[in-house]
Amino acid sequence: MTKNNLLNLAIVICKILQSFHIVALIVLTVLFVHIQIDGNFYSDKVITVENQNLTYNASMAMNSENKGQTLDQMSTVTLYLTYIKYAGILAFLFFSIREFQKIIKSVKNLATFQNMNFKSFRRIGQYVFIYFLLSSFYSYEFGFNSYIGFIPSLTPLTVTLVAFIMAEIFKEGNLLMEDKELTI
Amino acid sequence: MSIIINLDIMLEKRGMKSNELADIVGITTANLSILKTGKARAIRFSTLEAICEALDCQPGDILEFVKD
Repeated sequence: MTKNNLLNLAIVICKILQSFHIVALIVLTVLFVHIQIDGNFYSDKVITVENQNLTYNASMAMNSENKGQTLDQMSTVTLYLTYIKYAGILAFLFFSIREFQKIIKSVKNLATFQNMNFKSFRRIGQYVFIYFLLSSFYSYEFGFNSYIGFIPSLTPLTVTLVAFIMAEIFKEGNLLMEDKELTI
Repeated sequence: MSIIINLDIMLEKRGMKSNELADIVGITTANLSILKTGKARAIRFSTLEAICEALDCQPGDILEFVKD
């Protein structure tokens, strides 16, 4: 099974996604630092709050008609909270993908039901649940406008549930494998 | 564990070494060691039968139940 193309492709995709998350985290951090150093640069960058996400539209100019806010109007607390939220989301997605990659590698090496995979699935469940919490809460404050709320998304919750179920299946598989190995 | 494996006693009685028994029974010395140390989860009837035949004994001579 060492020549399994599908598993090799999955490992490559995992590596690409991990690289993407690292680059995104670096860009986010640079943006976070730059906003604090040179806030005036963002005085004409209009952002809107759609659902719980901040959206930036490059073609939208600041005028009296649109209802957007500029980034420099964002309060310091909101800036830090937003950075922590998105950095956390990227970090936990990165960790989840890393655990998934470990599972795929062990399947490739014919060690599917080893104890490590059961732990990896549990970790994925925990990481995705933290992602769910981080992505559901939002709190933004722009001058006199403030947006705060909780919009839960079912997708990460479903992934969490599936990960925990898979962890139990792999735990059972590990027990069966040990039983087979320790039957003389 | 409440099931004790008395394989060492039987091997001593018969003057046989572990690797000799493993060869006769057709299992690895590592697996025989697992059996002797009580780490085994189960034993196949075929293995038990081969051990009994090699040591000329009954299953009860090898396996013993002790209350915890």
